[in-house]
Amino acid sequence: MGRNLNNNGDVALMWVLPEHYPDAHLFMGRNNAGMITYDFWEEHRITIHAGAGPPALFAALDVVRDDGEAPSAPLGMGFKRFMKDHYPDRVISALAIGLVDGVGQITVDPDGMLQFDLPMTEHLAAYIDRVASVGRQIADETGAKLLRTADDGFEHGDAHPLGTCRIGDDPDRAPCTPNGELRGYPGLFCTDGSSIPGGTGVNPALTIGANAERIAAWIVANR
Amino acid sequence: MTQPVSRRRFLETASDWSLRVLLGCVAGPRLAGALEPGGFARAPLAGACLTAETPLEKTLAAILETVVPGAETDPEAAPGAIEACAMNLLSDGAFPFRENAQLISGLMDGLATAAHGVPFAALPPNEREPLLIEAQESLPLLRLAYRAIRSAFYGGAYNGVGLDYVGFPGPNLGYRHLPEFSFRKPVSKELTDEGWMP
Repeated sequence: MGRNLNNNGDVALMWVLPEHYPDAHLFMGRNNAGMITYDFWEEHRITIHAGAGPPALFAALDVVRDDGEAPSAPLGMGFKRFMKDHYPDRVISALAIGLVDGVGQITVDPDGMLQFDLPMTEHLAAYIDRVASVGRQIADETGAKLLRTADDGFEHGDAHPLGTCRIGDDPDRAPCTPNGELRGYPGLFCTDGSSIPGGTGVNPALTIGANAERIAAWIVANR
Repeated sequence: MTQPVSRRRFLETASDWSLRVLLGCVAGPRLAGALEPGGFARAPLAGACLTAETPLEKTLAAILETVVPGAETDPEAAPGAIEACAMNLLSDGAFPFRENAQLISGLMDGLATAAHGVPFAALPPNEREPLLIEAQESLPLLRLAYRAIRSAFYGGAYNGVGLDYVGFPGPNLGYRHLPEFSFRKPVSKELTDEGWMP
């Protein structure tokens, strides 16, 4: 338990809209995060989920221009004017989600604090490079300007952690049975995202819900 | 005594509270308050900003003013981190800021003195910014400090001056702010194994 942490391939992307595009009134519609493209799935195993980024996002991410133009750092008058000129209607934020290995882990230190570790493996670095190439491809084809979301490239996050208490047939690789029951602890079930064995390639909310309902149905029928 | 709750009602209630918690955590009182019909969920903190008194706090104030320039250095005198009450980070247990304030202040004063012969707060604004960028290379902790400072302004952690400045229109309310729209009125029914949902 705690191993095989999979961040579902989350990578934060942002673009400044092309000048000839109309303003994106992202906060006025009924849906603000319902735009998903599977155009890059076949080639890269990546889906792109666009949405309206709250301003707090610009506090949490180190957003700067990818092409080296100003603002060169997310501070000072340059960044403040950039926000004033572009936010919220001229900036589109998106989350790339894709298939990556579950190489992270969560442990408990001697003080009882949870420790989160997601090492930057060769595989994960190559995946982030692929996401960046998709981001640049979108920018090139539309005339948008790609922004970096981290000082060293693109923020790979942990918004959708999966797999630390996964279900499976193999007791050596899965703490839970396929029906979500923790091996060695009869009657204790895991039904949240940690029970999902690996990345889903899309937002995992519906998969988590469907799996929880499946396990619940099994409990009702068998216990 | 228990009362039956329909699945639809349960999901509506659960999603509503989930949204409140999420928005409240992300951006503080402005967003959470926007969901309240009467305005703010809790009183805004206007006028409650901490002020810089000690030399350490004055160095920190200069750092805040450089990360998000405000009335003192913005050519348009628009509000910045100081007006967004970013000094309140020093008393806010939610951010690991105050524990490192002395280290950050000392580092910036040291760099400023080495490069220009004066403390950081005595530098003109155009010489402060390159120092902050240079310093984060030697002390990665500074990136987190800058994020905390930005969260006061761009994230609206203590008041709404930053949100107003960037033109944040408030959270997406799904048309619920439009009285003529049919939010909360059934627009369709779902067919289940037990028939149409109520």
